[in-house]
Amino acid sequence: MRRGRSDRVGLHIPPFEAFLLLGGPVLFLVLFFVVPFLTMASDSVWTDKGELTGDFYAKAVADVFYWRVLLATFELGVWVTVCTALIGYPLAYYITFYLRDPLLRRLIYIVIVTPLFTSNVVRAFAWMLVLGRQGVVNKSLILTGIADSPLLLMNTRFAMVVGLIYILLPIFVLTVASILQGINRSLLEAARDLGAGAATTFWKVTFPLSLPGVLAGSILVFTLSVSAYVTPAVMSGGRHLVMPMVIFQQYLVSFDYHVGAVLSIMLLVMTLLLLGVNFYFLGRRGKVA
Amino acid sequence: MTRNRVLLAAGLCMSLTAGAYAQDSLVINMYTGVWGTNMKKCIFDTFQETNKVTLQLDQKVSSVTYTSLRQQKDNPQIDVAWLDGAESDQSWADSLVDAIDPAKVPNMKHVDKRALHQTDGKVYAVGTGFYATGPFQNTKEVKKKITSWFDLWDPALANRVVLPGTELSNFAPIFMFINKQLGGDSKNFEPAIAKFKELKALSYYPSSGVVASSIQSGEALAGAHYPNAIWALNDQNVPVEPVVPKEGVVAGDIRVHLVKGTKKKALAEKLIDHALKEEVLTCLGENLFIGPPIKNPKLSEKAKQRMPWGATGSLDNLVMPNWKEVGELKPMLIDLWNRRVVQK
Repeated sequence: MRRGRSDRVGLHIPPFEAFLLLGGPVLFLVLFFVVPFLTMASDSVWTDKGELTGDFYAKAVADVFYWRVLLATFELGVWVTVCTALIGYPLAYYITFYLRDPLLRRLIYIVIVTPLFTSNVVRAFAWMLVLGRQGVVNKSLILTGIADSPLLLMNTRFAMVVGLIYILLPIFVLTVASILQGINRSLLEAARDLGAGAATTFWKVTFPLSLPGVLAGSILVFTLSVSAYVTPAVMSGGRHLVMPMVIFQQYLVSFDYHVGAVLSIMLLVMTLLLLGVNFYFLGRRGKVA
Repeated sequence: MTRNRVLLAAGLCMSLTAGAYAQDSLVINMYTGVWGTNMKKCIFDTFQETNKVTLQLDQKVSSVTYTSLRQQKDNPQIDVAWLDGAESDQSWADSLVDAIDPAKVPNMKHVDKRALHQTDGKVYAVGTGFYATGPFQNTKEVKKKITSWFDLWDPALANRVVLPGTELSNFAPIFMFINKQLGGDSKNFEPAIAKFKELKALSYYPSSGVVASSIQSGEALAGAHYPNAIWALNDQNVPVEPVVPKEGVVAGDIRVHLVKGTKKKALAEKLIDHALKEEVLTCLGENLFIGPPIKNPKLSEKAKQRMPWGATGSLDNLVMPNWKEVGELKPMLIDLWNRRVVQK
């Protein structure tokens, strides 16, 4: 029996309509990603006199200082990703499986995304009220006798991690929650019917099925952490450096576009390499499992 | 037929409007925040009213304006630009700004020579007010009066001092100033590096907004900032006051420039001339507490008390950095700072 058009897997879109559909997004990407990227890449290899050179790369790559800053950047990214996952997963899980009231669920989502709507100055002031000498954390530590005098919490690496978690948590929670919502509940019920306890059902069924969301959320959080400028600049108090701060200095303070471009490409390549290694090992683990 | 006539009339109207807009409009890059607000009040609102022109005001920090000028070098969209000292000198060196003709801008004759920035007799920038960066202190919490920049190193102020970070235009001149005070020069920055390594700073702030939060919340008790910004906090009942230390305060001026290749040169010159009127410069001094670059400005008692040189000084008391040198050394200083002070 011949299969009709309607039996074909997938949707057939005529070429002209496909062109119209894809044209916009492709044009957007070309204009706002490809063109700026190529401009930046050309700055990294062409001198002001228009001569092709590898000197900018040679100098940057041979400089231990930039590698140290890159390492500090990735350390920050790992801390932020791990902490965001540890806080965000239970939150997403609770919203998906325990929050029955749709109105309350919407309210919680609004609360979660609120940090994205506040300005950096307001956020900086808010963090001073929480992490400052007179802040809630220090007052609690002194009241409970854990500390004798206020601890220096603001303008530290700890503050940078906390500031980034605050901003990136909504992205992780929303990504994981969307995957958790798609899990077929009958699979969980089947596990329970077959004698699995709540913990076993979670670790053997729910968590493995939610891994694509955890992976996507982690990638988003990691890449946004290592490329963040404003939050690290405000929360570090200029006492710690990450690569986006050095890139900003090169572009907008020293006006050295060549070194700025090289450092931007170093950050991009190293981030892609790290993500590639991550995908490779996760893929292998998936096959073994 | 009627449809065609309507379209023709609409087209004609649009082209006439566009033509009028192009003729009587200027694109101006000026400062952000309280600076921009007062520049609008003192310079641009009055110019628009008297000349019936449209001004497009782009509020940008100096470094961003300089970057825009560089990108638009072959086809400038900006007509008039305000820049800080280092970017101003760099813009002239890069041929991004034009010489200002005193015949076209007659109000230049009122302006103090220290605000006329020139090479080979060509004026490329005119200062519209002198600002400073100097120490400040919380008058309630800090009992000992700060009298020197080096009082900021007092152990009693450990982790409570804020200073401008590398992102800000006053970072390099302050670093060079401290270095000079310690016996260093433009070839030897070791004295300043060693001194800053000792400083237990709360933060090297990246913007005025962030430092204002630190001061308002009581986290920062002393440091270095623009005196006019400290007075603005004082007006909001924050117990802080600027200090004029014995070594002096590091000054600069907010400079106006005619962009090279502007298609509206005559109108741009007219605006610059307007910005240099005595009453306009006095208005900036009165509202921003910056020193007007004219002789005997008619300022209120309150403004006189709040001038960058303090209640009793004058323009002569300001320490004027060599901005050309600052611009040239800045990348190297930031690199030194990153490697030797931040990553000790």
